[in-house]
Parts: sequence; C-alpha cells; structure tokens
Amino acid sequence: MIKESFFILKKDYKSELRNRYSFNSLLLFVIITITILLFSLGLEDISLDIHAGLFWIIVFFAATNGLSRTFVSEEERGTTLVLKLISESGTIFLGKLLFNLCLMLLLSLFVFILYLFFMNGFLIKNYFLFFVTIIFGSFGLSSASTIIAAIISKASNKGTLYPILSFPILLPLLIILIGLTKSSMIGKSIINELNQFLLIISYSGILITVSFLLFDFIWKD
Amino acid sequence: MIRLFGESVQKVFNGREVFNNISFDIHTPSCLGIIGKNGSGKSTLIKIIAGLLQVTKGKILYEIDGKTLSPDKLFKRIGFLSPYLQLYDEFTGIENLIIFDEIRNQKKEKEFYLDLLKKVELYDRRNDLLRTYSSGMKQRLKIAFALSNEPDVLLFDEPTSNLDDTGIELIHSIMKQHKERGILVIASNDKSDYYLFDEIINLNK
Amino acid sequence: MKLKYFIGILFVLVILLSFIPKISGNLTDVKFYSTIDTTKIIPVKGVISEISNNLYKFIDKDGNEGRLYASNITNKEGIFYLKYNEYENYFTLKKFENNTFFITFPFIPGLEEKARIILFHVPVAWVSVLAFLISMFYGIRYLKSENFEFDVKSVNSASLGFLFCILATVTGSIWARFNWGSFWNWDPRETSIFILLLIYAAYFALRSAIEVEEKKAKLSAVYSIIAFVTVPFFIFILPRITSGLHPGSADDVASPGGGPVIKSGMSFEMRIVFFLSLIAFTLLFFWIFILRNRVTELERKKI
Repeated sequence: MIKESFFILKKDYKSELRNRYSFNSLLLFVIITITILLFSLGLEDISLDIHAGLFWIIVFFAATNGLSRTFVSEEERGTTLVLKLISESGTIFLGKLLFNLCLMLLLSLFVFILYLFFMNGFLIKNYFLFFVTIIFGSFGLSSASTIIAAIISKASNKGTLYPILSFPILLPLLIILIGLTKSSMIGKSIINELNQFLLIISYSGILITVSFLLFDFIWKD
Repeated sequence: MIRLFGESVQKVFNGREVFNNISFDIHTPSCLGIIGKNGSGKSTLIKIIAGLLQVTKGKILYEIDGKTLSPDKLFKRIGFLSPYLQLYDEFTGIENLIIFDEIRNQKKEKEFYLDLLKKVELYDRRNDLLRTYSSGMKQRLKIAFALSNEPDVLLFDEPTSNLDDTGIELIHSIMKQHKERGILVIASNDKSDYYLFDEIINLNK
Repeated sequence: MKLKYFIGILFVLVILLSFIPKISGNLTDVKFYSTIDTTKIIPVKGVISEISNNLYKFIDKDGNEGRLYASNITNKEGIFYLKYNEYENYFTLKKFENNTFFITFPFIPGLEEKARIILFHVPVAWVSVLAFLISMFYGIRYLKSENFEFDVKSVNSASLGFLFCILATVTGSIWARFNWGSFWNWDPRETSIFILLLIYAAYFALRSAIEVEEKKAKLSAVYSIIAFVTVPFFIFILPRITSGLHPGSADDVASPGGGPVIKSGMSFEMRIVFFLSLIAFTLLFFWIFILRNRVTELERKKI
C-alpha cells in the first residue's frame, strides 16, 4: 500500500507540474498578502509575537486554498472513478496525505523566504528550532486537513465549507506553532520545547490514525 | 474459471428505489447483458457489479476457480469502461496507461503498452495529451485502459458509444475474444450488442 | 412517578442546596492564606468561649483550636470572618454572620462565594461532553449498519451537546465577569470551549451542505467521530498544561493541573450537592434526547 501511495504522489506531482492549478494560486496569494502587510506596516516595527502570528496566518490561509484541491479537483473533473479502479482506499488517502505534506513544506519554506526578505524585524535566533517547527507544523496541518478535504469534496459548497471545518480542528496546532516560532525567534533552546512537539505528534498522530480508519467510509459510495 | 453471482440485489438512492430483486449467475465463458430504458439503472447496476458502488440489500460474489475473491482485490482483476469514466487530460495517452499501472503495482514493459495502443489504433497519438483527443479516441484509450491489467472480468457500459464503424468492429472482436477466457458484463441500449448476451437482466419495470 | 416531575423536584432541590449553605473554611485555611495574601479575610464557622477581656478560645467546624481577638461579640456561634496575626499568634475578627443551615461549603481559594457556580457550570460542561460522546457512538453505529435511526440519534445528541456547551460557556462567562473582571479573557480553557463550539457548529454546516440522505448521514457520522477525538484534547489536556486564569490550569496555586473538582477541593457535603446537580442535568439531557428522538423518528416515517 505504501509503495502505491508514492505513485499517487508522483501522479499528483506530475499533474501539478502540468497544470499549475494549486501552485500558481498559492504563489499569488502569498505574494499579495505579504504586499498588503508591507503597505500597511510601512516602516513601523512590530513585536515578535505579532511576527510569529502573521507568519502562520499567511501559511494557514494559503494552505486553505491549496490543501483541499487534492480531492476537490478529482471530484470536479470526474477522475475519482479511475482512482477507485486502480487502488484501494487506504492507498489514496496515504498518497493524498503525502502530497499535502509536501505542499505544506514547500509553502512554509516559500513564505519563510519571502517573509525574511521583505519584513523587517523578523530575526530568528535559533534556526534549528525554527525549521523543526516548520517540519512538524507541516506534518500536523496536513494530517488534519486531508481528511477534511476528503469530506468536503463530497459536499456541495466546497469553497466555504473547507475553512469552516478545518479551522477549529487546526487551531490548537496553530497556537502551539505560533508559540514555538516565537521561542525560536527569541533564541530558546529546543530542549525546553520538547513537550510542545510531543503535543503536536500526539494530536496529529491520533487524527491520522482515525482519518485512515474512516477514509473508507468517505471514499466508497 | 470465473463465476459472478448476484442475489436479490437492491439499490435505494436518496429515498428512491432504483431496482430490486436482481439476481444473476454466470461463469466462463459467458456474457451478462443489462438492458433497460434510459434512467432505469443500468449504469448503477454495472457500477455495483464492478465494486464502485455499494448495494443497499443483497450480495454480489466473485469466485475464481472456486475461491471467493475479496472485494478489496477486485480492482486488480477487472476492466471497466463507461462514458463517464474520465482519464487525465493533462497526461498523454501512454502516460495515462503507465501511471495507472504504477499505482496498481502492475507495471509492465513499455512494449506491452505500445502493443496495446496499436491494438486500439492509437499508436500514432500515444504521445499527445489526452486533451487533444476526439471523443472516439478517448473511448479507444478507455478500452486500452480496461484491457491493461489483462483482466478476468470485463465490464462495459455502452461500449460502442462514440465509436465509428472500425471502432465498433474492434470492440466487438475484443469482446468476443475475451468471452472465451473470462466473463463479460455489458450494459447497452444498442441492439447490435445483444447477440453476445447469454443471460439478460431487464431493468424495465 | 413521571420522569419530568422527578427532574423538576431534583432541580429545585439542587438550586436550594446550592444557594442556601454558606462558605466556611477552617483555621488551617486562614493560616495558609495569610502567608500568600495578607489582605484576605476568610470565613470560618465555629464556636467561641471567653478567656479574658476581648480574647476568646475558638473551635472551628473541623475541631481546630485557636485564639480569637475581638471586641463587640454578640453571639457565641456563627460564621466568623478572620485574619491571622502571625506575630501575636491570634486571629482577629473582621465581620460576623449568623448561620442557621447545617451544611457549609468549603473555602476554595480564588472562588469563595462564587464557588457555587461550580455546581452548575461543571455539570453542564460534563453533560455536554457526554452528549458529544453519544453522538460519536451513534455515528459509529450508523457506519456499521446504515440504519437511519442511528443518524437521527447522532444529530439529536450533537444538538443537545451544542446547547449544553453554550450553557457552559455562558455560565463560565458570568463566572469570569465576577472573578476576573471581564466576560471573556482568551484564557486557554475559554479558548478551548470556543473551539469546541466552532467544531460542532461546523458539524451542522456540513449537514446542511449535503442533500443526498445517505451521504449526509455517512459524512456526518465520520465527522462526529473526528470531532469527538479532538474533544479530550480540548477539555482535558490543553487547559491543564497551559497557564491561565481558570482553576486547574498550570499555575493554579492550590490545585495545579487538576482543579477543585478533581483534586478534592470540595468538602463531602458540597460533593453531594455537586453529584445531585450532575444527576439532574444528566437526566434532563436524556429526557430531552429520548423525546426528540421519538419526534424526529415520527417525522421521518411520515415522509
């Protein structure tokens, strides 16, 4: 099952490369958001708390745009039937989860680079902690989002429904991530924050396990 | 020897009963035909038999040489064709076939796919994006897809749709050939398909 | 006896028992809190006997003894509001109240009089969680059997859970106003319950976005399971490990990581009233739940 799910990832990746559906809109969204922020802040300095919050706001809302596409695009184009003919439901879930994970990682890194270049006052003292946070953050955010994306792909009104369903479930992760980001900016050591990472792992782990078990019910008509 | 067995199959959708008490029993070399007016549930029934939809009541069983085939493994042994099957527009003909087999973990040598495309007369257009295909060409690629895992069971919903005379000849020869080795399920309104049927399910009430 | 009369009587009893008893700590509490906060005045129920001019021997409700300095004492028995004078090793009287009811509630730091709200706020919150658990339970049963009766029960339980959750938020908010000054503070537990409300509001949004009955029931069932899996995290884990204002958070002096309900901040009598309240609200929930199930089933069968 795992081997096959990597091929699903490969298919989605190739698809994305040809279509650039998600890629372009995410890119544009991030650039526009940062531009607006730059204009409104001008030369003013903002506190580290706010920087940490803004960073994850941009990542989260950009992600909201892109993470639901994995299932919605299949549903809208009618290709779910083919997927059912070539794989088990678990394979699909894992494949889409992997795709969302990669998307989140790339997105966070992209936001990080732009943010670093353009926002002043964004100084990180502990880079190791920062990047570990991004990795765990991508893992956590994509784990909850994938199952929600699957659920809303079967409903009508998908655009507005996705943020409504995913936001509450992802909020605790966001709170933890913002805290960790702030810690990395003021230079705290990663050892002090180990229990936060434990929280992220346990929360995401439980969600992934439950999602995997329930996916079959969503996928099969 | 493959056997397809269905007992008292009922499908209710959104409070409405589509069909009820459908039973059938065929084995190699046989063809099950599903006929009925538009909207009588032909596509629904064939999807159920293919394992793409679930029954409301009743059961459907596949047996290969006497052993029951688990529904999870069904997709590896069947080939499915229907007008609403969509393949990926952004990939070429041959890419579609290869990617599907990779996901199915049944990838074969490139020659296999080239031969398959030759058989459906799409060899010349194999490296063109599916977006550029006509509807007849898409139908032929779908036939290639249905045959790509060398299935025991072929399930065809409106097999001759979008095909010209050559195409229709082609698919009829494929269906006749396949019938010897496995079983066929065909849902069709086209009377010229009917000669293949050994057992018939009529969904007209 | 009809269930609704029983529930009514139970509620009246709970309300009476919640508001009539007075708060009383003991002398050990007074000594303990004088080291933390020198301005605190603590009520203690007890009996005095005169030793000499303005100096009395004081025995509190738990049997502790101490010396009391006071002028103008009228009664030998009642609720004495005391402060501890460490230098002189006696207690000084700041205020006095007559007490006639035999039950008193213990002194819980940070809450005192407002402790009464525990008897409503906490049971309502627990019943809400129970309702969400039942919603998940029937969600699972639906997925296994595809029987619409289970879907009906799952929604009804979720609706009631949502209602009780709103009640918990409102009582909590009133409590916050009296205790910490404002109705909302974004304390971790307040944030948690807010998120919980959002999660179940999303449940109803999901249901209204699907028209096909089977899909609606199936996807709701899946979501009810996912939603409840996050509940223990929000209700039990997150608020206890982060620091905040609510009792039981990481920097609660008297009961860190637990809170008065779990870590025996309540006396025996108070615990009894608490359980009565819990039973009352639980019965109320089941009564409404069963009635609503019957009504929805009848409506569904009519269609």
